[in-house]
Amino acid sequence: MKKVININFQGTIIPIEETAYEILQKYSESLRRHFAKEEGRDEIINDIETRISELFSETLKKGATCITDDNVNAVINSMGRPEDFDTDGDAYSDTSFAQQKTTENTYPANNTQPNNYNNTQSHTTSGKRLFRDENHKILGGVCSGVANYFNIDPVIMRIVALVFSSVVLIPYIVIWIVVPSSATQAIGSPRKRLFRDTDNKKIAGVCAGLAQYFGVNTRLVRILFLLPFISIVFRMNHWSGWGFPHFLSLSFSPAATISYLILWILVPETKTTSDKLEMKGKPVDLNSIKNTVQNDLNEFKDKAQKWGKDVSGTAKKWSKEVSNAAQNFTKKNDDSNMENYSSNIENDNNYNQQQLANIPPKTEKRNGIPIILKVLGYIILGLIIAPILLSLFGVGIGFMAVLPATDFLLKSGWETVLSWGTFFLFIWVPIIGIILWFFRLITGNRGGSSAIRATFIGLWILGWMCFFGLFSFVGHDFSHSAYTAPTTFDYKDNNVKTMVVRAFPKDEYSDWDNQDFSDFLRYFGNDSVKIPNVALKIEQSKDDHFHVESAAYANGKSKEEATELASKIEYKFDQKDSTLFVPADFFINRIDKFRNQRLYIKIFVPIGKQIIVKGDVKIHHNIDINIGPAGMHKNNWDNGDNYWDYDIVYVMTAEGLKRLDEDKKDGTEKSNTDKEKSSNTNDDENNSGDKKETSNSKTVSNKTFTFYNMAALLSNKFSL
Amino acid sequence: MYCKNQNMDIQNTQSQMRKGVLEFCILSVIKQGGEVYPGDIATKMKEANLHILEGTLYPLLTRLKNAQLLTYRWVESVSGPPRKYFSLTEEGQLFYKELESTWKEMADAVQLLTAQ
Repeated sequence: MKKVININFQGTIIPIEETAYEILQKYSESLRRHFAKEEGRDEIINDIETRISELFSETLKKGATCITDDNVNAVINSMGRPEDFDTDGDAYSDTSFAQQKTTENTYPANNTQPNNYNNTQSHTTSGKRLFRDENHKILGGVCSGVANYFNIDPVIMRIVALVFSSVVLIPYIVIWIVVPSSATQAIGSPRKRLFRDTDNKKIAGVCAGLAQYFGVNTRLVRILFLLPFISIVFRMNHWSGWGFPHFLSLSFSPAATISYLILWILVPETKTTSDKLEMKGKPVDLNSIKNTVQNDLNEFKDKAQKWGKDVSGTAKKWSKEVSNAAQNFTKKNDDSNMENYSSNIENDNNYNQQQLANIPPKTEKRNGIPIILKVLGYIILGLIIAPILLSLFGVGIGFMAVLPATDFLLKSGWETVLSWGTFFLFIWVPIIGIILWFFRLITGNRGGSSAIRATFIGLWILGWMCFFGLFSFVGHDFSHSAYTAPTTFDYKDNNVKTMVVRAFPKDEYSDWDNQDFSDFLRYFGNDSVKIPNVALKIEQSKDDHFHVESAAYANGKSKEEATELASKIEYKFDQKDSTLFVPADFFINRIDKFRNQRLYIKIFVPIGKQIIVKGDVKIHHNIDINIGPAGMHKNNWDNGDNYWDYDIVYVMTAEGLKRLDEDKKDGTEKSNTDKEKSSNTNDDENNSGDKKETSNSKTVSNKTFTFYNMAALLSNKFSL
Repeated sequence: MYCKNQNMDIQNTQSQMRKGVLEFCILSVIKQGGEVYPGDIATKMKEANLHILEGTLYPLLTRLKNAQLLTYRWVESVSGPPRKYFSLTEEGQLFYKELESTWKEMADAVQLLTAQ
């Protein structure tokens, strides 16, 4: 039962089925597009439509109640489809009267070749197009469409899709909805193509183009792209930098940027008027999607039913044959047997013929095996490239995350310029280049001109130069180091058996336990930050008393600057009864920059006395934030017996620091005698025994560029 | 799909051949009929085994009319919308005569060349 509507077609009222009307409309639009450039277009179309309405009138006169799909299709067939028209501007340019008409458009040859057998219409921006194959489809024509596009056998494509079905499912559905079916192309109805709308652009027309394609408000799309950045401003759960959220989540701003950049590069801009028309075409709306999917599903259902019937038919035949054979076997050898046998042969022949008829037409023979190899090759290539891309990606994102902190590291001027240069050219250019190359490889598009390739490579080399420049600059800043003279804190150790080491009570400002990105930003937005670059070493005292010594350390571009920076580090100790309050961190500011400032604290414990470091101290055995190896000087600040745990009571023995419980277990006597002990323990022993303590608070990972040092040496040599 | 290329070439040539004589044939039909409407033209061509799609016909006729080789008048019809009846103008007549002689020459030449 179909809905019938009345249309006023060229002055006549025609009752027509709604579906038939839609076909007619599509045809009309295709005509309009075909004759878009033609002079006298309106007249031509008018004539054609008049003729069509005439044919409809005749059909109605013959007794039809309304115009059906078949009627419309028949009329379209007799009128012809636009791409079958023999309209050729070339012919007219050759004939004599073209001389009289100087304004006749002479179309370029490729615009007017009969396009009966091509699937592509000529556009200014066309290549091979991806369609869903209406004629060779099983479900939605996705596999065969994609296979045709890549010139592989659809069957192979389907097999691959089934094998990877869990992965392929969602892309399949997406392609089913988004990619137009080849039926629309045959009638020539306007397809919609994704362009960048450069007429309405803010930056590159990416958002405007997307808005046109989906038929939504441009502002909406722009807001969608900006959303992740807004979440920074309002500190709403923006990505914190250390987890890696889903790429498309709304709080992940690098994703929005990257998507925009990729779209900018890949999506063409509208060059001609026909491009603009195609951009605006018929909107991809829910109705058309619904219809498409419904139709395909119905066809699939019919096919499945038919297949079911075939199977049951075949099964019946087989069972019949089996029973016949069984009968033969049991029957005695006589004439009736021969009769049966011949009739069985007849049956078999019939059955065979039907079998043959049931075999679907063979698909064209393609070379199966090389194609499989090709697919495998692509998969392997993808597997190799993906980790490389991901790691580069990760570095790029990491840099983005650290951005606010760079102000504390780099002096303004050349350094920041170089750092941005490094960031974009060194890291992002290859990522984008690799992605693009991969896409081109898949789509078989040879469009990658050598100019583009050269540009990318050139930019990347520039990035390398920026990278090295940056290294040498920063290296120079860290080339020298200096310690302050050790200062002593007067710790009064009368009647102190166990020294308790604590940190100063915290204020809200001091904590760099950054939980999320907004804290990170807020923290580095201040003029000075606290860094916990403090090392605490516990050593044996040479006499009977506790001693507390401290020294500061810093790098700089000259010895003088290093010394100055080191002495600028402010810290203090305090004592209450037996508790020693130690500084757990200190300030550095934007002006002085971060130059590996460190604070070393040494506590000398006499033999027989005990010490316990409370958990709130949160300072470590070794320096966390470190660029370059520990200075050029051999010193006794980085050595020493290092390892101790929080909240454990240690006792200093002649052999060194030991846990109290262990000591008791060992039964070693606590002796008060002053044993000669070299406190200069071996460098090697310490360096191999050093354990990197994992910190409670999240800190920037150890950036020990070992060849960094070399850069510093180089810059020294060239006295930058 | 792989043998398509060969097909394409011959179809191409064939359609070029057709296109060359199309105008001439149409003008002939109109001249002989005096006043003809496009549907009739298409039918006559079909009868002569030179099939043409009506969709091809209309733009062609319009171009010829715009070049002032044809003219038309509207005729009311009982069974539907009014129809355009085309006829040759004076210019069209002259044009036709030229084409006729061109065709004769060409036909003779081809005949000669292809005769065994």
